[in-house]
Amino acid sequence: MIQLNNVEFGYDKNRKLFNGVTWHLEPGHLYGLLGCNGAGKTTLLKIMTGLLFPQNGEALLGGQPSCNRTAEQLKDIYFLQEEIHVPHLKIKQFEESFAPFYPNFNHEQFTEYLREFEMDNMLGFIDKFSHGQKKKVMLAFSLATNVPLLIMDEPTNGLDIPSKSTFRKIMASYANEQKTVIISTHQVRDLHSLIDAVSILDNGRMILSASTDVITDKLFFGIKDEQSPEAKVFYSEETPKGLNQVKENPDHKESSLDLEMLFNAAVQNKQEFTEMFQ
Amino acid sequence: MNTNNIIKLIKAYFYENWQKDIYYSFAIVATVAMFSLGFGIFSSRFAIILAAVLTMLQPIKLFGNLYQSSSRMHYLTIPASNSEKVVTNMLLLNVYFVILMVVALCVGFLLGYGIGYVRNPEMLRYNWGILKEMISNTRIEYLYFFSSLAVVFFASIYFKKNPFWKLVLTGVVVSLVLGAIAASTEWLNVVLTVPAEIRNGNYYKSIEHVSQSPGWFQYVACCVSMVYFYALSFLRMRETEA
Repeated sequence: MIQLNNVEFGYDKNRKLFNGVTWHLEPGHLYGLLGCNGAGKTTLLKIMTGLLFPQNGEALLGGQPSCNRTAEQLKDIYFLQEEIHVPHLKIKQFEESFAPFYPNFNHEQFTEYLREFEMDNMLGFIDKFSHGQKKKVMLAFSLATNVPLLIMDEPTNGLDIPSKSTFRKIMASYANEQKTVIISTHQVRDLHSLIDAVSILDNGRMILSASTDVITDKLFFGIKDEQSPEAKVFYSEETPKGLNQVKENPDHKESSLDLEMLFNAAVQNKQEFTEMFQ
Repeated sequence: MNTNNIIKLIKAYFYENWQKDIYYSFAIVATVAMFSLGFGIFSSRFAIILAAVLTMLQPIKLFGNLYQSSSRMHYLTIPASNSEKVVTNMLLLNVYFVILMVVALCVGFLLGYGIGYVRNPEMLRYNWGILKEMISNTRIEYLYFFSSLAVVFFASIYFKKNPFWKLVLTGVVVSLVLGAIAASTEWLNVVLTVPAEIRNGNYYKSIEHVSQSPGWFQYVACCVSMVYFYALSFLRMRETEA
């Protein structure tokens, strides 16, 4: 579906943002892409969608370089940006204008998503809506396109609390074997229990990319007392319940993934995590 | 290239811009009607030039999505290839906007001449004669107009910051270049097509002779520049990043 092979890229000639990023995405997964501010998450998504061209290495979309931006490639992806652009159109006009480009677009789904986001009765021009309202319309549209690859950059930014819950509810039933979703966000709590694969970008490299099952098989997340004392601790954090830790899981004990803890552990142990999840 | 995608892109354009285009047409109609009320050939010609200049500014609207990061990302990820996007905008500019301009010019002239007729019935015959002469004498100017459209089309893809002023600047430079081409081709025509005995004897006779010649060099130069600038536009579009 999407393959990034040793991608190098930099906005500045003397400073590379990516030094050989390799990332292979399999269909049917909901990926969470995490990274610090300025790590290059949005840039990576732009390279995947052919909006930026790698300076070295290759970015393949459907087996062809993504920078070709052919109609065949583009009808299979939808990139929901963080900074949304909406033309001067009403919701119905927007649908009539852009839905024909997506062969699997479903009008009933679009109407349903709009209703769930409480946007079905909005009659004005979309560009006059608030940021959150624009985002909800575009979220509903992007989900209704039913494209094989949906890429969302900070989708919950600007959404109110009920809308975030609605988003999580919709997403939980959205992904299937034909659809792949990539969600790039800082707000890891919004991804909790939603994603089934995690990728962490740091310092120009993909330091971790694995399914949540593999992660919880190799790492244990929990309070100190519950864990085997000899396992290596990667990260710990004081909480009211005790010392919360991420540590090796040689006994393959079950635990629930804590994305925030995982991220901090990965950033502090880059080399070990890269080797562990290679 | 998929014709369906081009039709979809054209539809998407109309959904977003039909109102703006109506205002634009009214602006041309009002301007032309006002100018064709008096002052004979100069005002009518000025009205046509003004309409042509307004048409030459339309690529800014066609490629307006490329001037801001978020809209550029939206436009570039619309499921149509780069060539389909370029061809769509070429069609809109060379067919739709030209038809819009011609219709607006006709309505404007009719309106202006109609008002003129009410004021002075003799004026209509006079103005109509001027217009007929003007249209029939400007075949090469049409070609210059279309090649200028190709240049501004390329300029509007090429320039991302302050496209309006850069397009105006491009227009000025193009006018100067085209003027130079016109002058040099006229000279070339004189040298190539006018027999030496006429050329050396009487300059006015030479010009008269040239005006009957096909001016093939100008036609070729205009056609080549059109192909060249549209090809450049396609290449520029292909390498445009968000």
